[in-house]
Amino acid sequence: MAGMERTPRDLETLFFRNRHLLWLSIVVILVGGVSAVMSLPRLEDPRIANRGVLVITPVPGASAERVETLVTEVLEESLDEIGEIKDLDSTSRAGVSVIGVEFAERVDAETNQQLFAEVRDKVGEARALLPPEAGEPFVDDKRDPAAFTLIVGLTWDFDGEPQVGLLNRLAEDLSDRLRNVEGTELVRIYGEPEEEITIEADRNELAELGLSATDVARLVGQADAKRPAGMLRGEVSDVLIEVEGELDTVRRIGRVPLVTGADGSVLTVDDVANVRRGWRTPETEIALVEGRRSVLVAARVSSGVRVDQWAERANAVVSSFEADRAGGVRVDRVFEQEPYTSARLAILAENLLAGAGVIMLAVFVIMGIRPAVIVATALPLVVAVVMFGWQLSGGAIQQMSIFGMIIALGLLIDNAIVMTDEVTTYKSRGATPVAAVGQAVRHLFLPLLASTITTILAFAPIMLLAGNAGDFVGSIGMSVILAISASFVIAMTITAALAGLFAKPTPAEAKRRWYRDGVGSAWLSRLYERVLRALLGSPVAAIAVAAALPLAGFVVGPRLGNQFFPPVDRNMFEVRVWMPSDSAIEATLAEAESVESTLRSMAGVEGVSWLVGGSFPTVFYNLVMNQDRASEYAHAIVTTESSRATKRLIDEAQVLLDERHPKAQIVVRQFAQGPPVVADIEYRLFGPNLGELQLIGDRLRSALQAHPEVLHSQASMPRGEPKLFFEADEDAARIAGLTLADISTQLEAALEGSTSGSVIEDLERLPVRVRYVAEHRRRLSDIASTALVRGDAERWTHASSLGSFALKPELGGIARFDSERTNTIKAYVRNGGLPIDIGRTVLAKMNSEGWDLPAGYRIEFGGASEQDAEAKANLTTYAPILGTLMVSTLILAFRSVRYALVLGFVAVFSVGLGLLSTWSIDFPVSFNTILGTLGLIGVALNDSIVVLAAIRADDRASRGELDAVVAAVQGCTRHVIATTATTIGGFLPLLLFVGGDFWPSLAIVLVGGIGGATLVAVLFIPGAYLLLNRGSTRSAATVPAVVVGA
Amino acid sequence: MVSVDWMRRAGAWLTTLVVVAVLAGLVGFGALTRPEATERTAGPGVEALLVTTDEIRWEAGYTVQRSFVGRVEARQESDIGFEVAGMVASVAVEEGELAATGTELARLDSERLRARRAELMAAEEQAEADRALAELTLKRIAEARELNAASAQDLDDAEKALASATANANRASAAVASIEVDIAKTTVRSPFDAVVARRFVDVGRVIDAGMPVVRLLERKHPEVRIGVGGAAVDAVSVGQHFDVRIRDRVVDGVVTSILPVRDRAGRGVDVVVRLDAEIDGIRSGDLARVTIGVERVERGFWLPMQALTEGTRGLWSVYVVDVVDGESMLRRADVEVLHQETDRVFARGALADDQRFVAAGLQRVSPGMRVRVMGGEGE
Repeated sequence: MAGMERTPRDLETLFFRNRHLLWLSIVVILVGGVSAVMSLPRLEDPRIANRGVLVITPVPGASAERVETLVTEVLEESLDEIGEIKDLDSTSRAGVSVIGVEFAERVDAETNQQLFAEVRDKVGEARALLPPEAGEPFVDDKRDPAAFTLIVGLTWDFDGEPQVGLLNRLAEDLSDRLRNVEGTELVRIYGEPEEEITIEADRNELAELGLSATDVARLVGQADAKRPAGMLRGEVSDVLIEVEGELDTVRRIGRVPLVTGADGSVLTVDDVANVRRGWRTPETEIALVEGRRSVLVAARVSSGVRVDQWAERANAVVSSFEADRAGGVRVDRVFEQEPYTSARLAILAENLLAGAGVIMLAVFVIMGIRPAVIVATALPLVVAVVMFGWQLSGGAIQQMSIFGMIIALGLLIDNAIVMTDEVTTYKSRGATPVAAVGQAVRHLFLPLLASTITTILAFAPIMLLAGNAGDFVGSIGMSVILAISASFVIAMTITAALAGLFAKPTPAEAKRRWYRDGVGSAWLSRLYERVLRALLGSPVAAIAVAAALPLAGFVVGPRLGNQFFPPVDRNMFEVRVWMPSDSAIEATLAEAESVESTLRSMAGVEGVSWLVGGSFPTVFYNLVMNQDRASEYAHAIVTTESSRATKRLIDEAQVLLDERHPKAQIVVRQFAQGPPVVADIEYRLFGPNLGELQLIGDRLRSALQAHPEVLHSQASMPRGEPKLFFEADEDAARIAGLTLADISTQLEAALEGSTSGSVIEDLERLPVRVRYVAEHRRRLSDIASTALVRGDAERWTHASSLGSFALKPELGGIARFDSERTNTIKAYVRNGGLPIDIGRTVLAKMNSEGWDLPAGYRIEFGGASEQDAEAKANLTTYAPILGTLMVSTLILAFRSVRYALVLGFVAVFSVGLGLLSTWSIDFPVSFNTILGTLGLIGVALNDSIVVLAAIRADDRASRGELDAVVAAVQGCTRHVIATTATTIGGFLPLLLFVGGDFWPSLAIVLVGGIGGATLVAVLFIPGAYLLLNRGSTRSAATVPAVVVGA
Repeated sequence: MVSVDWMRRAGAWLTTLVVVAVLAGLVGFGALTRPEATERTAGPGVEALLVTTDEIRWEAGYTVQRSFVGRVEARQESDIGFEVAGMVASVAVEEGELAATGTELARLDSERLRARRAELMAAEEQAEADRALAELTLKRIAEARELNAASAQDLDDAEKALASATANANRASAAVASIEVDIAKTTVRSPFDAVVARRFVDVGRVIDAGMPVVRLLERKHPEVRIGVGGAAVDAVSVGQHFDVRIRDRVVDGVVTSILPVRDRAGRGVDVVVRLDAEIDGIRSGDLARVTIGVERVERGFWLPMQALTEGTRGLWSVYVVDVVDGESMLRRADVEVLHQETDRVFARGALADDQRFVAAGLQRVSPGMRVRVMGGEGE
């Protein structure tokens, strides 16, 4: 170390001088990185914060309009006081009010719990204002947009009627076991029956006895002595007393006495009714796995856990559960997320490695073996720092953060290349290693800092993006910014030191060898010089050439389609089936079964699982579970043999299903990336009159349907549903000794049954329901002849004697959005269609045909279109400050406003280049394009800054002398080319070897754009520089007037 | 130098032009050769939606089905008893047993009657003997009188004695006959083909005359008394046949009478239906259900419930298929629902016979929409 004493003790060479520091830093970084990789949670997709709550309030017996005024409006007013609420989306249907609360984008995973509590408070406050018949409002905050990790189907696999009750018990057992697995966030059961004990009474026999179903329920309830009967307070101890005779078995219920005859005979429940253990019919949800009745148990891993490790534990639990059962019930793993996660992460990791490999190859080819190795050391170090950074910030390994790394690869290697190049150059000019390092660091510090800061600023909007889209792509920004910052610091310290230690410049007189010095050709560089000289001879020409491609991009830009997020490749797709809104669940089930047989007739379909009556538990993070107790809805998840088969099947299945099942509305959908979107196209129509809203909605639906890409459309304000009104003759009823209320309670009890008492079996509590046998309530004529029992119980009266039934439409539901009546028109487009464009086209076409909204009515876009617009708006939230910061950085770095402006042009050109590349492979502009363009801006600015810095570093060049400028440009072309090659190299695997549209749509922007960006750097920058400095120098060759007007 | 300079500038411009031209050419070529994305001719969504349709069929009227419940009663239901008092000696039938006409049901203890009969029969014999003696005496006196061996007074006495003895003998016979009847009355027999519904007394009990011993139900042709509510009673006439459902059985029934009174409280009119069955499996007191169809003459057509959608102001609409320029379009047509059943309605409206309407899947379509009709008709 003695030799080092004379070297200056400056900061630039600290790492070079202090070897311990250098090597220990490397070791610390690597160890930190490895430990982070081991412990970081692994997920397939980023977790999107839950920004939605549902408030469900039952209002038995109230019509939609009553529900709207008495419940929905009251709750909405109360909820409106919470400032963080963005939208209130409510539906008031007969008997129930459902309010969807959506929080503003700024709410995140940390603050949402507090808001949920606030919603509960507000709902609690409003409770007192609700009418007495309204039930307790239920606040559901467990609808996170996150996929279940494991879905197990317990399927009845034996002859005869499936014993759903048994499946239910097994499902409860399995869910308890899964809940105990470490790392389980939540376990839910789908398709389970509501077990109960049914007393099916013969209506007429009861009427003969002067009893109604309600009376029987009351008597049974009274026989249920599940309450203490006081205490025996002795001198020594107190003993509880209970009347024996709680309802414990079906047999016990059968023996409950109903009527005592005059001769002492006792009529029991068994005598007039059939008591059986069963489940409530009609069921609310029915799950089918491979066409057989089953119950689904869905479990989700909590976000801080490695999915692979959890899956191992959970699978062990399922296997042991399976081993305990002997036949009869099949245990199927309907869905496992783990293989998808592993596969996706593996693909991305492979791409990361492949990208790194291609980059190293490019560096090797351009710079030679020694510099390549020095540059290569930067890669693992930066990756390690990023991993450590994720760990500290609570991130996870998921596709978006890894993808951020891939984007960053091309950028981060830049700093290392430039630094190695610079140190080698100084060394080759004869500087001592320590001086070379010092000079290189001093020279490069500002320009690299500037380019790093501009890149960080370019990606900052993505990192800061709020809302669902932000949650989804935010980690890309985070990764890139971490990587770029790390790479800057590492380049300035470790890479510089390593280059100082190991770089060995080839002496000028030595023969050049490609493996040592990189590929070069004297002929090629002479040609390059000539072209440069020729073009820069007239700077406007150079600018024109460089600007041609970006401008072409702006020309084709408007022709590009718009998309929020592209679809994803998966060997699964979903089928949604809607029946008319008044369909019985049996009808929907029958349709689902028939749809399944159609699906199974298609080659490539492997598995079909259904949930009839609600949304299938999410198997993909952005599927929305928005259907509950919807007997008209069925949802299938279809697995295919491969993702390629999926792509082919989606169109085929759509056509086939539309042909064969004209009774149902069927939409076949591929999974798409991005934040959850319920329907492709959504319009919201606002206006005061329901009828008018319906008419406008119809008109809009017809126009939508006429578009060749639109498959199906729906309106949230459906036409009235048939409702039977019993028009009772009040006088006749009064003579018969019945009030209207008596009639309606007796009819209700007769049809729906009434519950009273319960049987406790082990851990299950089964309510006891009394109702009439099915054949007495299935047909309208049966209902009309329902026996109504009078108080005196002497004879009964037929319902039809007291009035008649009339079929009248009743408003199915009233939808409101932000406390305004709304008719939401939803439409689904064919796979690969561009909903945002279609939505606009349809509306434009209607407008051009002279369609006008009546006064007081207006239309808004919802769905993907709205989310896209919101995400873009959010993206620009910080644009002013970020833009100003970026310009300030450039101004400060170059101490010139003009050059900052020139670099501003580079940013604009990058946008044009991104558009052109997207157009070149026929992709629509999606959110990914924007992400790619931001990355491209970063790379293009890097390149341009390097060139600009090189020109300004040279005295003669900075004065605008053509020869010197050409020489300066030529001098830094090597690493501009290196940057280009490494960026393209980093993305090439993603573009070529990963199927689907998601990654390529982003990769193409960078791969394609970077070529143009190189032209911009080597032609536009010197061209603009020359143009700007022409006045200040006396260049012999130029006569300014000639080129004006080019 | 000027020319060199000029040449260099010209070269620069030429290069620029060539590069720009090539780039522009590439972009232009690409733009021209790119197929228009919107012009798809196949695949999902291109063709209009397929709808299931049906045709309007006008009909002259419809039938309203109403079901009513009544109780099964036997046509005759008798409590059988003895005319005489006495102790029950035997009951020959058990509850539920069949008893054909004339079958012995029960018997009273008749010992005393029989003893009395013996006594009476002895008295009868004595009276007979007295009469025979009186006859012989008369014969003898008559012969003696012819010989004038007896007085006319004697003959008269003998004649009178005979008449008296004959009357005595007759009385004695009558007494025997009477006791025979009494004895016969100690046995009751079934007056019609019946089923024993109930046995009131057991052997050994002393009963008064007229006390019921067994209850008999007539087996043949039980009746159902049905309280028919509303206007359905007008659709029923005497002699009309109905399918009567009693639990799981269906039997034929014929209306025998319709009572002229409407029940004050229940608002029903009793209709009596005689069943073509026997009380055997069917029990008295069973509930029987009769579905009465009321014919309504009113022109209209049947529509499936699924074809209905709400129209304006509480009316119902159907979507009809109109063929305009070879294309099928949907149009809304209002209908008035006259009568509804579980899954169909009888309606009328301004629709022609054979007019096609959308029969199901209404949630998929809206009026004004272009559709394809299943089966290709109307295309």
